[in-house]
Amino acid sequence: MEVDLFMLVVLGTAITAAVSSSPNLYRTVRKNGFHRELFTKIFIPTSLIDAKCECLIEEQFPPGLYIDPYELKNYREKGGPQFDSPAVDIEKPKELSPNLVFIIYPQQFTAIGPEYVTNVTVPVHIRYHQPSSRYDTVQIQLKNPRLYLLCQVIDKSIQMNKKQFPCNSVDNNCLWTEIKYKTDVINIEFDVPVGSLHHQGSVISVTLAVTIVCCLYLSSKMLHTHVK
Amino acid sequence: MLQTIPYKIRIMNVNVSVFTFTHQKRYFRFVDEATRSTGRDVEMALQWEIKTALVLALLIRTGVVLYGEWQDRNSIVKFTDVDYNVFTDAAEYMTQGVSPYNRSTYRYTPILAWMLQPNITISPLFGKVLFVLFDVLSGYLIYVMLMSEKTGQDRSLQCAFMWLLNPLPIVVSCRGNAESIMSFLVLLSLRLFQQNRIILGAIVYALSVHVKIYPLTYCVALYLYYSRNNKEGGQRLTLQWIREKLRPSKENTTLVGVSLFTFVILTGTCYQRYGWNFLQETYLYHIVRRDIRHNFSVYFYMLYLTAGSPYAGIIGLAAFLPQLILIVVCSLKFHKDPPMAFFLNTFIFVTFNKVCTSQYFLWYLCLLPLVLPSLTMSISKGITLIVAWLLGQGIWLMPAYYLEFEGMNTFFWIWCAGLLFFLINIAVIASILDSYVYTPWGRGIQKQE
Repeated sequence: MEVDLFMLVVLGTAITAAVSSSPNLYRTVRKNGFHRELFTKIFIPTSLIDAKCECLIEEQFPPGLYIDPYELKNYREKGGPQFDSPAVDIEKPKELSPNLVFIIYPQQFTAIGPEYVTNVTVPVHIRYHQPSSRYDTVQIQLKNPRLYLLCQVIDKSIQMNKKQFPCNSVDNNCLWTEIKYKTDVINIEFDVPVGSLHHQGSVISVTLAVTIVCCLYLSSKMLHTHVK
Repeated sequence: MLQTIPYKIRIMNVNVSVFTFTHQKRYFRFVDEATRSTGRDVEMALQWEIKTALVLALLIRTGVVLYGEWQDRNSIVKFTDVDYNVFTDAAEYMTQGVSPYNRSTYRYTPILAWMLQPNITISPLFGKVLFVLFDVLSGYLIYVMLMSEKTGQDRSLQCAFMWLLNPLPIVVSCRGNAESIMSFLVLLSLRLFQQNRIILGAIVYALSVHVKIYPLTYCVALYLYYSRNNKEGGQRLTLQWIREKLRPSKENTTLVGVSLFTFVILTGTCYQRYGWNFLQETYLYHIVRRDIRHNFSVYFYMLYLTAGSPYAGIIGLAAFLPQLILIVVCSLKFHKDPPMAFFLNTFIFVTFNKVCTSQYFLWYLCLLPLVLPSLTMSISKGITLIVAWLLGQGIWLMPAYYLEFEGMNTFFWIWCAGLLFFLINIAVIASILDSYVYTPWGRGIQKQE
């Protein structure tokens, strides 16, 4: 009897916890190497916002990470998200690159059970980082994004400040409302392989030795080729 | 219907059989302005074999372009190169009357963006069709030049096939890279110099340097070619010998004058219209290029590791000097045979360059068919070298893939593979030098065959 009551309480807590009363963000990174995919999923309980809501993600990228706006433009034509991006120099290494702010517009919410859900996948790329004498790989941290809504927010407790951003398909600016959300992840980490400065001495000497010797070899060969 | 007809081809007393297509598809008339000259010494009538070869090359490339369109629409991995999108975007800016350099990573002459405007107004395929045409014309120029050197119909056709049926230029052009424009311009300038049409040759040469800088490495060889008739006073490599070689002949003055004039006009006009951006993106970027990302170059890892070091400048210079020395030696030695001088120059330039991507290989591959008849190498040795060269690239691509797409730290292995590929290239150059037999080139030379 006591066990049954205990089980009932546990189950009850679990069910209420599952249907949280706060917006939720889920993030993960797919693929490996220098070209990854950032997957973001947003859950907002229907009780908190209006039906016809649009949302916007404001990403703050560290210098080591970037989005290629031309790639995203092509991706948009194949069903990818709308976005707003500054000019990006895709060739510079991390040390010569700034922080960048990107705006992504996920697709419309769909109602799944008691929540509005939407997700978006964005291809991201990692820049070359300078070589290190201590580590094989370096970590990049991507902070959690800011979430904005363009609609009537019923529950004012999740509301934060308002900001101007371009409305989705039009160039005009609209007034978006930032909202709080809960998430399990503090920030996402990317591992980047870097060159080893331990190798520097041997790499320089061997490379230059090989190239100079081959240069002398070919020079002498050419000078001894018989050309009338 | 395919008929195999064995052709006996004599490559310096070695008999080899080859197959050739005899099925005629349709006639295709090429009007070749460059071969119209007074007193043709070679029968340049367009034989049906070369016509068939050109048509076949065109059909193959058309097929690959159409396949590329299908793959673009139906697969995540695109067939078309990113560069083609860059060209198209730059051309779109051109149609709007804006500078093409608004498109980031557009690093070419504005003439290219201007030429590709029909990509926007007519069809996105226009550029690819243009590149394919230049590609096929390059093959035709190879044939014409070899025939003019009395290489013989069969061998000339075989060498032209080396370019026309070669998968590397086919794939590169059909993916939308503009390399075929360079191969066409370089081959055309060689053809004009072969016919001693110096003014036209100098104009085309200056145009080729304007489009991409690397033909500038040919300038010493070209200059010396036109002073080859200067009396060689004294022994080799004495000051007197050098002075005699450098003394400008009438042809040299024309060559230098017309080239400089054309180049200044072209560059000046573009600078006037597009400003500093044009100079920066078209020339300075390529000269000062410090692309530390992984590539075939033997210097890649060294430059990456020393990028932030105070010795970066000296190391860069140490990497530049072998290139410079070898180009000068090569020009001094082979200037009497410009195709060989150009070929070796470019091969050395690319092998010793600080950055090396697969597009660069086409710069010297288009000249290889011209040089082949001068090589006494056996076919089996040639094939071994080609296989080793391809294998070297394959061996490099493996750790590169693991670095870029799996995030494994394979830098050391990429460096080793880069060294290996470098040494394979050196071996290929050495073999070519060993098997080279000089024959005089160009009009107005007494042939002693």
